[in-house]
Amino acid sequence: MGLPFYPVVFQVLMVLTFALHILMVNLTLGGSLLALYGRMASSEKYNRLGKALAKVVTVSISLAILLGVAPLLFVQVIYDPFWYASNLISPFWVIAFMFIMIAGFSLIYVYYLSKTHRPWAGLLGFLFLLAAGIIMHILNMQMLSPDRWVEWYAPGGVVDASGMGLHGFQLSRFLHFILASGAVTGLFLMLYAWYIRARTDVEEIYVTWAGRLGARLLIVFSVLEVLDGLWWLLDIPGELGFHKNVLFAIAFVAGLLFTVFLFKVVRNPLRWALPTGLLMTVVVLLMAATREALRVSYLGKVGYAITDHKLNLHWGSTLLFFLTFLLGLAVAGFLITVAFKAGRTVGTYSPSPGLMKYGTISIGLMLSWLVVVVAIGVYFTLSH
Amino acid sequence: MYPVWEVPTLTAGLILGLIAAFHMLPSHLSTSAMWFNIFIERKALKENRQEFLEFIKKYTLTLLVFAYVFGSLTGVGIWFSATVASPRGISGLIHNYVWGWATEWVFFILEVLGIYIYAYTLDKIEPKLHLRIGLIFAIASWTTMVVIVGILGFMLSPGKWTETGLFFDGFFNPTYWQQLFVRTGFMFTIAAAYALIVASRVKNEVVRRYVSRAASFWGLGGLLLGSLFGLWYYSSLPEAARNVLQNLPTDTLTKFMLISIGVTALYFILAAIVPGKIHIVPAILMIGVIFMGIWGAERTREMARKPYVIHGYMYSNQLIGNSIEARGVQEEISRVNREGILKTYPFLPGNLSTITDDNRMEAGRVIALIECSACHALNDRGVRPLPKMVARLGTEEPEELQGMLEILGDYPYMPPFAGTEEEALALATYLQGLVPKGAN
Repeated sequence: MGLPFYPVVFQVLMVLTFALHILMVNLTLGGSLLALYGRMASSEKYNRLGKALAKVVTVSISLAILLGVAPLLFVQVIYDPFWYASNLISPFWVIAFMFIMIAGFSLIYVYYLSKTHRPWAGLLGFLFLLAAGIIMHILNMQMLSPDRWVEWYAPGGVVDASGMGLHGFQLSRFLHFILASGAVTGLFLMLYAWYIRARTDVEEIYVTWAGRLGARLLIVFSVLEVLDGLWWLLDIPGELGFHKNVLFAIAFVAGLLFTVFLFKVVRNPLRWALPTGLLMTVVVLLMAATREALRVSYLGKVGYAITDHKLNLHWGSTLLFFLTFLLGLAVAGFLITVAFKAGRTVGTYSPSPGLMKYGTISIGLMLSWLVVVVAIGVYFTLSH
Repeated sequence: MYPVWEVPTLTAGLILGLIAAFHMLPSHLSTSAMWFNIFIERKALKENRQEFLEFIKKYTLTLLVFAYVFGSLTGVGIWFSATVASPRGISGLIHNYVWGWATEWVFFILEVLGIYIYAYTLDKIEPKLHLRIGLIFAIASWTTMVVIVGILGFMLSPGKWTETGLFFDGFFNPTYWQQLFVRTGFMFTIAAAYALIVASRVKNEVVRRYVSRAASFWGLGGLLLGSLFGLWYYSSLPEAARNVLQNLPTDTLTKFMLISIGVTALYFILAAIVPGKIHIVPAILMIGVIFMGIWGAERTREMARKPYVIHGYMYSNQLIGNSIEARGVQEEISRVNREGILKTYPFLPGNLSTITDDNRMEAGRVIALIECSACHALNDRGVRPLPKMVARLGTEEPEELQGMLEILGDYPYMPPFAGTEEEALALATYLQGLVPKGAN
């Protein structure tokens, strides 16, 4: 069937959206554990933070799910044979993933909405979500071992269609995604402190404390990440020569420099919150790109390249997406601006006329999109 | 081809069917509920009646949790289960419609941002601004339906796409508008049903009565429009699809649909006559009645699809039955008949590369997994179970059954058998072996 656009574009989008997805996953995992710890602690500051985080996590899971859609879509565009083979070795777990996520998400909601503190809900929710992550990790690992697929699908030469296979778990790699949760949650706390500082009903002492806690989490887990990263590197098959990979070198140096930078940040977290956020996003993007470079390396061994796909260039649908995405950014900008300003306001937030106008324009844009698409549709329907 | 997932009794396809049918509830709630909600919210603002906020808060929370926990995850669940039930099928769709799904995703972003911001700024920002957010969400959510229906409809009625292979030819296909209108109609039934559940928990009697009345009108309107457009949809189905339906047992499913519509209509009429008096338990049970109708419709449509998963292109067992020259894709049946299905199967264990007396049964099982298990249970119970169906044929020996396999494609709802004569015998050996001797 081919691809409607250049494979490298799908690859770049895949890496970009994966980075966003994993940031939300990290915030969810770290945030739920910290919420639990906070609400069980005796300190009032910790309790307060815990309650806030319990709410944040309900949103970050939704965003993690939302942002998981995109990288998976693109994986299925450029790595389809590998993704499907892996999924069909473990189909039972692929379906279980959905139920596990439903259980985890529901428990996180129970934890957040309960009038009394229900730590069991929070902890169970966290464990279910972690289990979902393990399944994703295994599916990704299985993808990278085409030489073992027939052995896994037909152990001892007999086809096993029960779908229960689970092969390929790499602890060093898995930890690299999980330990990042501490760092991302730390960054979140710094940004949270920076954000709520503008509210008139928040005490400076709480804000400073939250920012400090965040910076400490960030630096501790960043150091752990560097160490685990080295362990993962040792776990990668030697014949790939990945330590010589240019992107890896750049990402590794960036990660190291960032970690060193954090020693400065930890002395004044609120002042450095935004720059740290920016730099960390860059680091995570580089990590996501390196992860893709690693996959290219693994699959290059079996002679696969994403450019193997035939190109059936289709500008119409490509433009449809990119233009819609620009529209989406514009409208999302309105929604986020309202949330940003309202969250800093004590009492009822009243928007400026400019912001109200932005809202009206957003609605206009969306209706225009519908009009244009319906017109295109009517044209095609009539011409058939 | 890929490894196969055999789900005894149910088939992998029914797993997909169950998840997809359930998903209809939260997804159609999402696309419709906010219209009802902002209708109420606008009334509250215009008439300065804060008491309506009680309903709006509870309905919003219902929407948030039901649609954005269960809805989003079962939506992903459809995708995952399609991946494991029909990897080539979903691959075919993605290679054509990746930008369609990516476009739908933009509106998912607006939905998720919209619902959280709407919920968390309720009563905390100026009402006029809050309504804007609600409207943005409402438009965004319905737009996801506008997009997904193009891809869904394509599967059953690809229309001109089979000649041109082009995105918009397949997207704006012969059943596109019909399906969009059916769903747009019926979605209000779902919004109304959930509104009645929430209304039963509202303490203020005036609000409860008003909302119940409004919901019953919206619900009845949705039922009427959905049903009318449903008839239009049915009449637009490709002739091959309607022919298949005439050859398959759809009576029970049709009854489900009719009973569901009838009982739901009576329910809404009752809600209008005695507004605010409906207790939460029957209100929740009504979701089951609505689901009955959804199930009937979904299963009927799945039957209408047979023997294809993408009509005029790919069979339900993922074999390509028709060439799509415009995309450079060749049909596979002739090649597989020459070279054999096993030789073209990359996941074949080495000991089956040549069929012998010793491995004929096992070779037959693998062929059954590849070519039959998409729609048939290989065990004795459940979905079109092969042991029962073979027993009904009355054959005693594989050679008799082999003859049957050769004319399989003559049935309007069946793909042809694809493979060499030797493989046909192997499959027949396995299938005959499913029937205990002397069962006839």
